[in-house]
Amino acid sequence: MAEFFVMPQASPTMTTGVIAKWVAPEGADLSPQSVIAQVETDKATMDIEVFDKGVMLKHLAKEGEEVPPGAPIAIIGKSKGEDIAALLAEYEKGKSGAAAPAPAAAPAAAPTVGGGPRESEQPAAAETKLPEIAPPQKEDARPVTPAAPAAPSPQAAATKPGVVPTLAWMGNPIPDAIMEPLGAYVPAGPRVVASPLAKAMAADKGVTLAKVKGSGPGGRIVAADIEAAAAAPQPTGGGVTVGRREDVSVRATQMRKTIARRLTEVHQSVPVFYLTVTFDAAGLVALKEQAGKRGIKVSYNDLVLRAVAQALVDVPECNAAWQGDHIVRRGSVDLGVAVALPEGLITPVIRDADKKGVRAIAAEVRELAGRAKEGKLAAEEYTGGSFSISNLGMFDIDHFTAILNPPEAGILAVGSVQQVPVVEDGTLSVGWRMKVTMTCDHRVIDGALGARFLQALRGYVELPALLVL
Amino acid sequence: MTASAPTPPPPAPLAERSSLPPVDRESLLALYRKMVLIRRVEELAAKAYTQRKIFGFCHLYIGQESVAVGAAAACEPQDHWIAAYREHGQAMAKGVSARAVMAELFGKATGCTKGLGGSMHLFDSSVNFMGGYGIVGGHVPLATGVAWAMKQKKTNGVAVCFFGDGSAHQGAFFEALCLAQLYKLPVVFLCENNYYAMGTSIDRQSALIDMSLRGLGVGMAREQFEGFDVEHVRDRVGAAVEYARSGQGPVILEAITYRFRGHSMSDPAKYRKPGELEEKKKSDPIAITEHRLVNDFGVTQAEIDAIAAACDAEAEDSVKFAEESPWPDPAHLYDYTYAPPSADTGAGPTNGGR
Amino acid sequence: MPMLQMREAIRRAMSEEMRRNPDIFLMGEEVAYYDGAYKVSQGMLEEFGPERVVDTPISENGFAGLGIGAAMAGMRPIIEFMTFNFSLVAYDQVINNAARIYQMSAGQYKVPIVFRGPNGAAENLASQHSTSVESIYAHFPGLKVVSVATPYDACGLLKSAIRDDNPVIFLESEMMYGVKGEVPAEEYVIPLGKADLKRDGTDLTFVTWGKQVHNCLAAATTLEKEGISAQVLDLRSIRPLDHEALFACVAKTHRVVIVQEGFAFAGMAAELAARIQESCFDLLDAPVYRVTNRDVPMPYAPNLEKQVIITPERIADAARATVSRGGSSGNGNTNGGSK
Repeated sequence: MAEFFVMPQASPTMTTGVIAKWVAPEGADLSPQSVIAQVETDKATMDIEVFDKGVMLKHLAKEGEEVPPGAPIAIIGKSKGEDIAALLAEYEKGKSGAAAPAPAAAPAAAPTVGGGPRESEQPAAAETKLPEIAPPQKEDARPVTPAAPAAPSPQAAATKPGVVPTLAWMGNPIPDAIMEPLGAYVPAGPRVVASPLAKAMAADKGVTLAKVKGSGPGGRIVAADIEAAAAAPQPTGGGVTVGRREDVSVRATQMRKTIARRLTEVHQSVPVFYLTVTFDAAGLVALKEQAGKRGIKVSYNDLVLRAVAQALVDVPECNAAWQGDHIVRRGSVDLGVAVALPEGLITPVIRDADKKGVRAIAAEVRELAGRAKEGKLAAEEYTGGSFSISNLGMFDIDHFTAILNPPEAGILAVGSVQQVPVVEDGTLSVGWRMKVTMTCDHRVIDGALGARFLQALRGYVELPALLVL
Repeated sequence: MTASAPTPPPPAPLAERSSLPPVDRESLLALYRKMVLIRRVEELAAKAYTQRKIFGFCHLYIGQESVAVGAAAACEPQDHWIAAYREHGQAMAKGVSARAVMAELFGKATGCTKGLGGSMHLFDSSVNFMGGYGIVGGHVPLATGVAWAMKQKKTNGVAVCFFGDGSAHQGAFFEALCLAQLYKLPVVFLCENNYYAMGTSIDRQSALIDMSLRGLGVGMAREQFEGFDVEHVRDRVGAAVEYARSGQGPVILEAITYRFRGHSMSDPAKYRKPGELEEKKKSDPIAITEHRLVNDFGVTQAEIDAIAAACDAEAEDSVKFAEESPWPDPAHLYDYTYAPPSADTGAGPTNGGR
Repeated sequence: MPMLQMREAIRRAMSEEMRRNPDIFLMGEEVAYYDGAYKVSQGMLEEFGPERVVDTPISENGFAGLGIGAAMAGMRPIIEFMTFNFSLVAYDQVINNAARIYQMSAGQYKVPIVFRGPNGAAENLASQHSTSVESIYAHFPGLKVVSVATPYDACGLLKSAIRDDNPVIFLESEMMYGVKGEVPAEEYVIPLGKADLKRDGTDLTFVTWGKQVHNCLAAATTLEKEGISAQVLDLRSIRPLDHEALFACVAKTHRVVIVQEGFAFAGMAAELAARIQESCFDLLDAPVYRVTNRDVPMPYAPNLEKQVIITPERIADAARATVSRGGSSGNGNTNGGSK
């Protein structure tokens, strides 16, 4: 039966071949290895052979014609006089149409290239061979290969027999053959799983790793997770910046980074509520004045500290800390005192403040604050408090809220002592007032408890004489 | 097993005639049929290559069929063959089926090396065909080792190593000759001088045209002979195999032959002298034997045609078989990287890790 | 337990195996009448005769190939390279033939062969006689690679290597043939592919093999005085690799220093580091450091050679760096290894 003979792919880089000469004329008998034509390629003039017995029935391409590989150049049959009308029609149709007919048996790229172990005669062929040939092999000629992964991934490798499946190799003998990627080794015991970059970024941005859900393999926290965690609370600004001074990046000190990290952690993780009360501060004012006249220098803060210490003795439930699944009620009253430093904030601790007099407390606060400003506090001097006080009264702040100093359950934000108009029994007069706001860790302190504490505190603040009883 | 005399005696010449019985009509017809089959399989391999059904490198044996077929007629089943990368013909001559060869060229699971070896690495242990090798000359020492084993195990076997004139310049080749002669091993080194090492003709790559003369340097018996006539090849390889089998030591032979095609499918072989190929084709081994069959054994043209048709059918069948065979299952990709533990490996008291 | 020299342990393994299997033979340069260049095969010619203890000409390419061919045809050769430097002229045989024949014959021909001999630098042998070859052999699937540090391991592992149906590169050391160690009187084998913890510790793991095991042990002793607890994992078998033991060490100490004789560039230590980071990324507390030879061909002069080879001091220094207590990281920036 007659069939098309197509232009072979005579070199890997060949895009067209030119029929230089028909060696086998129409009507010629052909036998295996008969040269039928010479074709000029981009590399050389090649002899084109046939490998079966037959007859050259028709030259489709003329000498000098340029034909792409895979396109018919001749019709070859088994014997003379075979009917080739249908093939000719198909050929003409293909020529006038977009696609030339290409017999399925001869895919478009039909190379006669390859070579030997040492292809010195055609170095270019060896170099360019792979990209040329690989795709059609996969798609056309090899129906089975799509199942084979191009590059073994650990998952893919896991499906191969003999390859250790991810994780599953533990406890099994390692097959001799295998040095394939093995997947993650997971030992017993907890460990924060975060990439080194994520760890560094978390420290830098004050993000607590334990609070971040990792999106990487096996739940690994990766850089993107830290970015997301750090960006989440920040409002996105917009608008025009014309005429504004440029922003300046200020390098954060280690202390600032630590503060940023810890406060972010507290603010994001502890459920708090706030209780604000106004105290009559006349008693404090009078006491401070009387003491001053006697050369005893005490501040409102020192007095408030003493009052808080006593109130915590009265309401010990507020002298406590949340510890994961239980509350620790502290045995001693150790008060943290927020001290402002140029680069941040520190809270030196007055130990056993309930057992110390106001003068002792005053002296200790001044001593600790002085050393704090020189950066000479030991770690144990600013850690381990049970309750803290932050006072911005000296800056004429009316009232504010403070962020907890973990693991303490409460912190008292103290505003300024002010002379204000007061209404008492329907009469307007002038009085001394001080506003305080208590931040309560709701896991430890409920509203009523906090109120009870503030009630006790009110007693001592408004009648400081009680502190000596 | 060690050198005994400071100056080895000059090697004895091979027997003028091997002790094989002369060919008769039937045995020569069988050899002829084998040559025709090999050629037809190679032709269809070439065709399949242009159709992208065979990949990579493909080196055809067309023109040299008399050497492998003649050598096979001179060997015993227990003799082991080892060859280079132009080994389709040798594999079939030794007994690998056309189907197993073609399927291997197609890269199919039914190939003689399950699609793992391809054209250059045909193996079949069932017929003691120990492979084709792609590093020129690198397989020659292996034959020496195979002969060592056969001598130690007293199998009465001979190792036959096929290589080309191109191999005869490699160090591994020389070392293999030295060792084989030193230990007097039963090995026949059979050089097929086909005039070309890849694309370089023999006179341009070697000062010495007869590669069997390389044996003289180590005191090895040697002979050069015309390799176009399968009957003659059978006799000369027969003489060499008998020499080696008798315990006298190795032999190096050179069979003068000719490669009708390029080095590989990509080689148009434009480097031949004008008229050289046409001249050499007058010594086409198939034509020579056909002539002898017709003239001396009364074989008819009808019988010749019948053989051609049968071989064509068998070769076409091998292509059909290869085309219809499955691809190797990727699930078995790793199966042959390492041999599994043998019974022996686990034997004896063990004391691991300590 | 009897004390044996390394060479005696190796000889015992070969002799025991040769007695139990007549297919085994030893072949190499000067292994027979000379009794072995390093006296490893002393007396074996007498016991086994010239057909099983075989002298060869100086032709590694040839006799390596002979061994492979013999293995294909049913023998179990032990091929001795006088040193593994000379194996490089047989590299084609080992790689293209030994490592691949089983696969390219689709399992029809096995190559049960052992190539053994001393590996790495000895003393003042200069450029061409100081090569460490484990990295260039371990690269190839189809080969197994073993490196021994003690007579006990040498005897047990060589017996396994001889019984294995695959080609095994068995690496010894000229410097260690005289090293003595306890070897049980009764017969034993050690399976290939099992690492051995030569010293326990908590702060970091030295991963090493062969001669460097001893340098690592010395470094660990030094570090102990500084309060650094280092353990020493002797891989023993480089291929197949004992991933389980390796990763368990990483999981335990979180810090690893790999000590590999030979060059860092594209070497076995790099392979191990890659595998550790692939599988143990989240278990690491420090980068994986490497201690290797300096990146130059071995010089002859003793003072220069000392600069190139691995010393316990360099190992200890890398350990200090990995636990952040001074030191410099393995090859540091002085190696120039990544040129």
